[in-house]
Amino acid sequence: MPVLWKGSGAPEWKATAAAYGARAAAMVRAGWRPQSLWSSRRQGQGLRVDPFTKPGHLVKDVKIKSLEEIYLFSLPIRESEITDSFLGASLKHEVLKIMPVQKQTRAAQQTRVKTFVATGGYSGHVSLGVKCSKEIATAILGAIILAKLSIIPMWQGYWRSKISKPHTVPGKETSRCGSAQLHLIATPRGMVSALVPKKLLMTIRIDDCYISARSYTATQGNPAKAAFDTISKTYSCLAPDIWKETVFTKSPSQGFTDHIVKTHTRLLLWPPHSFIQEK
Amino acid sequence: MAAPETQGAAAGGEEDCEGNHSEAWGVSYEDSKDCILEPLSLPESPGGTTALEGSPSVPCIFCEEHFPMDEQDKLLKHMIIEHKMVIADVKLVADFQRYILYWRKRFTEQPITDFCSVIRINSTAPLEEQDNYFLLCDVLPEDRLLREELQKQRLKEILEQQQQERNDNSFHGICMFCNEEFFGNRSVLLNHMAREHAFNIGLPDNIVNCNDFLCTLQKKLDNLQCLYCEKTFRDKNTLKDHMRKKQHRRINPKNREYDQFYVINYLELGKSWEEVQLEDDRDLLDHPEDDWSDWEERPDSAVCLFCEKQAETIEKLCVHMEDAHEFDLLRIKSELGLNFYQQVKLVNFIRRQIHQCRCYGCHVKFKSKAELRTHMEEAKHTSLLPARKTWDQPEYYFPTYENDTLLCTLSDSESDLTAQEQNGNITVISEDTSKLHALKRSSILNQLLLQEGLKN
Repeated sequence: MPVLWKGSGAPEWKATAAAYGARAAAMVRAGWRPQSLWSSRRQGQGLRVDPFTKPGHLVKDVKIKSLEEIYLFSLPIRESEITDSFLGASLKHEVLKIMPVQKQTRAAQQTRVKTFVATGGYSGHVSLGVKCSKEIATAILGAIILAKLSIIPMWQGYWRSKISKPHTVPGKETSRCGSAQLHLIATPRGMVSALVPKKLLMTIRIDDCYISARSYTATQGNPAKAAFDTISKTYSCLAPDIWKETVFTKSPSQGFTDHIVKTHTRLLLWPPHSFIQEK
Repeated sequence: MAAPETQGAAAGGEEDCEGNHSEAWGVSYEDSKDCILEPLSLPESPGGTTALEGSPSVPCIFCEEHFPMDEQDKLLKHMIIEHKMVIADVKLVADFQRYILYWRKRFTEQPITDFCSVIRINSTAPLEEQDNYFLLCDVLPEDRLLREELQKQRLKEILEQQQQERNDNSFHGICMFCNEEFFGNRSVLLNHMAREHAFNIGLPDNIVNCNDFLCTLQKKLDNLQCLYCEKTFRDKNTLKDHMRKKQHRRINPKNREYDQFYVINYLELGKSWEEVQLEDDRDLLDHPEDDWSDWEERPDSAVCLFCEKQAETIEKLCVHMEDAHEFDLLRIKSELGLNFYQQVKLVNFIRRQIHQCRCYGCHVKFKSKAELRTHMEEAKHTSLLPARKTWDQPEYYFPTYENDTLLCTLSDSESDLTAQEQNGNITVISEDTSKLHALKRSSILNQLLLQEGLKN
């Protein structure tokens, strides 16, 4: 049924990242396609189209030039537009599974749809997202946005010699999630693994890897999560000197902070608690 | 049970050229005569639920009369008149045939009054005019469970159907308004109609059975009927003008006929999509959104090295191979001290030999796998592994079967997980990180972040 045309337009504004999915879905229902949401402003609709975090501002003004800078300084990514502006078209989404779940409310049990989405770019970034919703389209969009918020780089490797692009994992990595323990092992050619971790690795064009699993249970979600954790460990275990803890706060020399304050003060002031601003 | 594997074009015909193994990387398979040219796959494990074989008629619960599937009402009428049986909320039952068959079986086991409430009519009249009717409704817990089960089943089927349609790129459709053709995914056509003609029936992901839906709409238009107000017009142009002027380029939300095409209507029986939309999700009590563990599916089975037996866990498979074929993988692994890569090579080697119906103990070739199996069991050649250099070759890194689950369950011995390859020659080079160091030094974030944090 035409659930799109509900009343006059945008839903009530919710500022939390969890509701980001609902907002994006509402905009798409109103006829927008999911391009960069920073590109224009719509008056009177209460939709935020300017970045609301400091990294977001810096990315929009092209002061931060690549996603790796964000990783190197351990900044949390709270806006999916950051990922979009760097990776944009190279991100591919793969819906791993859609399943019904029963949710408990005060009144009764309700059935909802839960989606698992893997997204990855051929530049070596991968991510997973989960979202639960009434409609499949909302769930998929929400999961994609959540995945973009938790995107991580993967350190890739070559077998024996550096010919063209890297195609396998750099060594052996292990990780566990729940009851599933996975090993990712380098190989010259051939992807041998269960279907779910295989799809995850194929989104970043890792063609060759052995994925061996310790306990083979019926739960498929845990191997996916374990594969994701293993990938995130490739950098942290094998190249720990690059990643250091940092603190993001005002520095004595104002520099670019002034620039942000000057050019972006005219932000929406409602609701005020959603701003991440230091005083 | 399992069908024999897909026959690759194994060119290893009559001759036996074993000596052509080479160490070089770019070994072209065409060199050796016993090469396998096409990818092989192991048989998949048999699927989960079996669909009810299509008997297109539904029998009555009590007697042997059959009625066709489409004529539920006749069956219900028959049951009321002949057997005095009423089913409550029959329209909400997800799968009528299964429901009836289930109760048919149950009524033979226990008397009907155990399940149905009895309704007495004409109770004030004299005794001969009184009558008892039986009502089967979901107050009975068993009935409610059955209905919920059928509902879940149907939702799963619908979601699978939707998944198929989402991944299906062979769709071909014609736009209803401009007669342009579209190929690929159904979302291409739907997005076109939404963008160009402002005709929106919903996001493609929320729709199931898209082809049928579009056919229904097309039929309506061909009958010169407006899609929204459903009035009939004289000819096509009048219809087009009407739809354009009155903004009727949408479908009637009250028309129940379209309910079957939207997934939201299958979520819960008895609730219309309007009610589901109005439900506030903020009331949800438990919110483990990123709980991955409730995704359950049957695990892929591993196939035995020598026969077609499939087992779901590696332990069961090892036990089977030990009992039936006297092949103890774990013992071989510990005796020869194999690490992960060597185990992989060994498994691929054995698979290749078995596929080509050759015994690796005595190098005799057989006509069929069954003969080979009997030979190996009698002569006990399963544990007669050839010398290491026969199978410890780089070409056996390549998996013989593309979906070999057994390879996924091999593991290194615990102590070996961090040790380097004993034989040497395995080098895995990782990507360059010097660029990242340079990036870190040159980033402007150095100025914006606290100075102390960078002093490492």
